[in-house]
Amino acid sequence: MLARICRRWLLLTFYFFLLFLPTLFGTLHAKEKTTQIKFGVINKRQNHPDVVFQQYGKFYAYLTRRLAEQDIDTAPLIITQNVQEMENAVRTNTVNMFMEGLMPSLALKYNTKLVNPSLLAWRKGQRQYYSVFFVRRDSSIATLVDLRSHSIAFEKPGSTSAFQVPLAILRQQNITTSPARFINNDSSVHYQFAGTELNQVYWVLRRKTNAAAFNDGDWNRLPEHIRKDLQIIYQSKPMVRWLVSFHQDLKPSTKAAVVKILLHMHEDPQGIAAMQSKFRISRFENLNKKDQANLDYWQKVLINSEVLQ
Amino acid sequence: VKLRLATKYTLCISLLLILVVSLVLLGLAALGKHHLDQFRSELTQALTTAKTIDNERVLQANAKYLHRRLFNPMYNLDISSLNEEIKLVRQLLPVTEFLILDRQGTILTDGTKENKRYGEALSIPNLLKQQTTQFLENKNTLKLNLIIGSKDFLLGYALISLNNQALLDSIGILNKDMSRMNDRLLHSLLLAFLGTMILTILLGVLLSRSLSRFLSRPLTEMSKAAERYAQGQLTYPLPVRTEDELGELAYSLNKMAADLHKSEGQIRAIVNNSTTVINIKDRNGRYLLINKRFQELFLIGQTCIKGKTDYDLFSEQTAALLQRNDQTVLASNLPMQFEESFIQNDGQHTYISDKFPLYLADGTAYAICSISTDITQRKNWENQLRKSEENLSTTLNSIGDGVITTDADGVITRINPVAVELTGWATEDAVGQSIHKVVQIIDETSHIAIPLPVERCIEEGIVIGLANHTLLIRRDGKKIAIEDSMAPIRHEKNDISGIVLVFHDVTKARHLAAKLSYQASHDALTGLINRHEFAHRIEAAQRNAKDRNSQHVMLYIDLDQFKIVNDTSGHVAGDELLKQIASLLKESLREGDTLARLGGDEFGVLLENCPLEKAAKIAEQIRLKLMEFHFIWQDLSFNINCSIGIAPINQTSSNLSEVLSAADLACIAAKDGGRNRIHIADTHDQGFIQRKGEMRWLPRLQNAFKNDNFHLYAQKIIACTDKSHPIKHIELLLRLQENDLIIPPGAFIPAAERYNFMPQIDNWVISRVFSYIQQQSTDENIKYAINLSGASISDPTLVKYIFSQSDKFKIAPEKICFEITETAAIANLTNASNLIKILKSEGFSFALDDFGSGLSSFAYLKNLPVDYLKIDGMFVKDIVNDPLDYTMVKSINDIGHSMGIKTIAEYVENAEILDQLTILGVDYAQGFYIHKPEPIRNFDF
Repeated sequence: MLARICRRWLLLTFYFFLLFLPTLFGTLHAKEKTTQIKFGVINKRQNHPDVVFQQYGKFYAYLTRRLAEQDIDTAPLIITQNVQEMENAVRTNTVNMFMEGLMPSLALKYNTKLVNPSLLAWRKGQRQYYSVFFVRRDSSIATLVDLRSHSIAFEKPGSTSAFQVPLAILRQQNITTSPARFINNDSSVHYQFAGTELNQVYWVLRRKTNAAAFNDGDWNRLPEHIRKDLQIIYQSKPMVRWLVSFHQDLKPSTKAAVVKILLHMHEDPQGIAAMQSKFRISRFENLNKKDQANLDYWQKVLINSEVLQ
Repeated sequence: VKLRLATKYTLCISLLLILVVSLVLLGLAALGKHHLDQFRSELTQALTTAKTIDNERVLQANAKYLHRRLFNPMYNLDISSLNEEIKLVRQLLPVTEFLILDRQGTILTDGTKENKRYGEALSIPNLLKQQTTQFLENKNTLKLNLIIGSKDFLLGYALISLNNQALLDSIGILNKDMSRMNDRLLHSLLLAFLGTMILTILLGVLLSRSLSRFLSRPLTEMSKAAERYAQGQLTYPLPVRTEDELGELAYSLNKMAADLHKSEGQIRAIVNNSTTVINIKDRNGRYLLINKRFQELFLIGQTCIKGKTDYDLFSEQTAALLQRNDQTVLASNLPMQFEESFIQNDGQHTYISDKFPLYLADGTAYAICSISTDITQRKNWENQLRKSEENLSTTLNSIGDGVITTDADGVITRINPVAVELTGWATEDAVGQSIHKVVQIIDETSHIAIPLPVERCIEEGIVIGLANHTLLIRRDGKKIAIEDSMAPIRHEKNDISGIVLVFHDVTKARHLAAKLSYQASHDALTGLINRHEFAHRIEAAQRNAKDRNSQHVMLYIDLDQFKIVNDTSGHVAGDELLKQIASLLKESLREGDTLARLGGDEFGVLLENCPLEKAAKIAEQIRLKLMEFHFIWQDLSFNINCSIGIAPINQTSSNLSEVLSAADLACIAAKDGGRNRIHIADTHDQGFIQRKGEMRWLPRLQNAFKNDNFHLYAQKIIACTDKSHPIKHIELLLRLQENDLIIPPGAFIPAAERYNFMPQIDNWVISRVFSYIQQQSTDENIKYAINLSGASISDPTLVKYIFSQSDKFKIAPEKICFEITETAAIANLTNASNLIKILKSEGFSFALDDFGSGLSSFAYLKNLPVDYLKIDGMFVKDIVNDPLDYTMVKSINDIGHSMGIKTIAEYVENAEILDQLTILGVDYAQGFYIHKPEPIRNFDF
């Protein structure tokens, strides 16, 4: 009698095990970490993949070569047309490593919950930078609040320092914003895109818009005889210049190998050449606590101002 | 490879010229190099400047394009794009300054990142305000100014300065250097020209000498050789010195001379050995040449003939004819043929002469050539052939058959008058036509065209008799029955050169044949088909039933009263009755049914594709129709009935005789059933089986005759009352012996009657009995009773036979008593009555057998003058016990006696019967009690 009960229970257990075997297998399989580096880039200039290759080609070739020394495989470079496409690539694990500015990095982290910025990069000589608002020196506008009912020139929608951060700052101060129309008669700040930083400057100089905003690096690079006719009315808190993010599913040892190569790249003449070519990166660093706090601050600001959704 | 002369000279001259030109060019090149090296750097600079000039032109030509490119960025205040455009232009042109100004003339950008002159105000040239593009040029600078936008929608200005000074400097230096270089080059070319001239002269001298040596000498030799050939010295050899064209020419001339020599020899041989007569005369008729044959025939030599004319050789008349023919040819300038006659040693000969003019190179006829062939023999043959042809034509025109001959392609070559008449084609129309067109035949029955086997006749080379029953379609469409045959025409070598078709009109013969055929298959009286043809059709129906599983039916019709009509009103009436009955039967049948007269009063009907039930209906209709029919003959009217036997013809029918016998038996069954009815053959029917059994007797009876199996038995007849009567009576009875079995007559007589064997049997009995009597003792008191059948009674030959046999065996008629049954006598009353009368008149006596079995026996007694009545045994055997039989026997006996006829009782099987008969006064008795029949050979009274 007892033997029969035992045998029945054994059978039931076996069937139960068979029933859940595929699920169990799937779970185990899902937790298996990716070992291949799949590096992705958001192409700022659509239909010009050559620009991407000029910017990242040498860098990625260097990285591939170095990883191959450790038997780590790399996938071909993946180019997405915008942040949304990169978001999909991250979700499907088609991309597990990318380098971007503050805003896209935070947006991808916030929206996918799958990636985290791990390293920062010095770019164009900046470890961090600011957004500055400027007007003509002879303008009556002296504060951000004065911008109400006036126009402002931003660079382009994808720009962190020349659009998204300035927009967030304006909204943080309860200043409403709206795209410029033919007739603008409300109290919001009317913005339009000049396409380049240079145009932003001349639009202000030529009074096409009342103000403009971009990063302090651009400001500092303006010729003196131009800059003398302009003045800064607001400067944001600092922002990390460039970030390297990794997918959570990337195998830790692989990630560690990549991080190690990047952190020592500026010590290798070939690494320096790969970073400087068009890319204009001078070195990579680990994010410190202050940097992490800065990221948290900006994430909060961008979310509150609904720039990051 | 053998080098050709032209190639040799071409190579030689070319090499020399190339050498000269190369030397000249080398000199020029050396000079040029020297000077070019000296001025290479200046030249390069000059070319660069020239390129700058070209760019300016491009800039001017594309000012509109630049204007369009700058519009959009200017309108959008897109300084970055403006800078990009400026950068692009700077890459293409030697731009020293490129400024973009706003409407007020303030500088917006100079294209640099620094944009140092930003905001500087410049004065806009008034001229530019009036036009969209302006070009200004001074010593150092070329300026291109253009409006961005339009005069009505001015966005700004573009001021472009280009470096002009460097350009002008380069061009000036270039001009100077190029002039100097040109002078030096001219000098060099002059020197080269002089050198080339000297070299060319030297080359010319060398070439002349070579040409003279290579060309002139061989040509001179050829010229001399040609002169020799013209003089007839064709054997003169020309030296072949080279292997070039001149060598080939010399070789060809040698070959030509040899060929000419050879062909002249050939022509001479042909002319002299030819059997034809050849001569050439000049325009005036004087002989220039004659061949050997001419010399032989007319006995004149070649040397003597020259200068002579035809008048010198022939009679005046012949010469005039020849001269006239020659002049005709010369006048027409064409080859012509004439028939000419000459008197030779063996008589007059006829020649066919081909005459043609001979021409000089300018086309003038200078002589006339005649080639004459003796055709005397041929003329004779032609005459013979003509005669043969006339004979052939006469023959063909005389014979009664149509004759057509063709060539191997079937094209008609000859057609005789009979063939013309039969085909309807005139000779001139038919000759040259295909025989298939002229002789078109069709099948007489189907009217399907029958192709003439011309090709087969030619291929196989055999005589082919054409299809039977053919009709020839005349040209006018009329059809003629013909019989024909086709034979190949062979040459002497057995080759077939065509065919000859011989045919004749058989319309009458075919009509006659058709008539004969009709008569063979039809009954002359009624016009219906006869038994023979009917049997064929039954057989065909039987095959059809077997092949196609179809159902046919045969009716066997027998008229019940025909004999009465025939007997009472004669054969003419009988024939008329049969004709009318035939018409009646036709009316009752369906279209396509076959009606036949099978013989006597018997008709047969074949109902094809007819179910048995339908056939029964048709038979019944026939029966009713005949019932309603009254045959009127003179004042008499006869009712006609018929008995119809119906037999199916289907897959199970085995053969013709089975079908016929089945129908016959069914008809007999109908008769047996009381006549005037139909009966369907039923193989399971008892009567059918019996009748079929009778049929089986047929071969047995034939066999009995063949093997002499019939035997005679004798039975005594005794006197009952007058026992002392001296005459003894014996009845002779027939038996058939098969193996050890003795078969009584009751078994085979019905079959013998059915199949008409009875006359034959009766004759056999008569003959045997008479023979027996002759062989017996001379006891003349014995009377022999011989039975005669009904069939024999009607046999017209019987009487003659009896007389001949009695004469043969010397039999006294009184010794013979013929017995005929009452039934047979009544059925053939007239014949029976006549027979009795005739034989009785000769002394024979008669007994009426089985008397009483008929219904009206007594009535007939008056017409039958018999001597004895044999009372039917059916009444006699029960006479003791049955009062009715007793009365019957008594009545017959009484009536017989009252008519003076003796009576004989049969079937006397015991003493009581004999006693009773004795009491009644019956004269004679016969039966097993008295005597059992025994073989006549054992019999002894």
